[in-house]
Amino acid sequence: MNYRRVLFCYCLLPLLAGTLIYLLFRNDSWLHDRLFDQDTRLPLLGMEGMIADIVKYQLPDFCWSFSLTAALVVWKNWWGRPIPFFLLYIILIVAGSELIQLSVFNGFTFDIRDLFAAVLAAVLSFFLIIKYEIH
Amino acid sequence: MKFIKLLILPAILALYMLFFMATSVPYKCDADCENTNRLLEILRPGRDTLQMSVGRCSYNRVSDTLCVIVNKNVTWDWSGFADTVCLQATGVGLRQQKIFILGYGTTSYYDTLAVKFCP
Repeated sequence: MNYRRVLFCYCLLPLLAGTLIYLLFRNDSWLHDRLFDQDTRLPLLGMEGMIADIVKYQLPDFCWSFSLTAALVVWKNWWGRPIPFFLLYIILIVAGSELIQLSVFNGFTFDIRDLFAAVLAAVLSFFLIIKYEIH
Repeated sequence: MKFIKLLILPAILALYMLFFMATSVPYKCDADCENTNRLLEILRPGRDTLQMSVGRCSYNRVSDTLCVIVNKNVTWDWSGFADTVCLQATGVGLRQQKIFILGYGTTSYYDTLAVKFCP
């Protein structure tokens, strides 16, 4: 595995993309609270419609999940020992991070589409790395 | 080396958890929340023994129900108190509210002490 390539393309880029989407198209996160003052007109870029909603709400979760999965696969490859049901553990983590929003934190909102996006990203990231990066 | 490799795993999870937390919505007291806080400030003087709190009965921001939580072990005219809450709520701009006076005591359950639908 080319660690540098995988870390950049599968971990860093999706994480940056997700953060950018949050910063540009959303207006209500802790990040905005810290980075912008009250005079800043948020969101920085306005978008309406179904596709826009997917970009604004599901894509950041997809990116986060995709990147996390890649980081864990890289770690597992570096660890060098087989870990049975590894993908299942990853799915449990990403699904858990969505499902936990149902109960514990008031600052998050659960959406079944977010859960679907997160699990899809985990599976996709896992198999893309297995297929194209691990030789 | 094996130990360091093992340590990296929680570090990765912690890093991603930080990103996760950074996208949470911070709590902000909106106009409705300001009104309920103001209502509590108006109701509190002279009623310290009630150890009262006021808030919406659900997380639904468009809720028209106000829950006033009090210590039920205090002897009080709860029906009259509900009338007072209704009057003061209207005064701070919370109109046509459904007032629930809920009492807490030794158990973890709330008792409904009075209900008033403000006109």
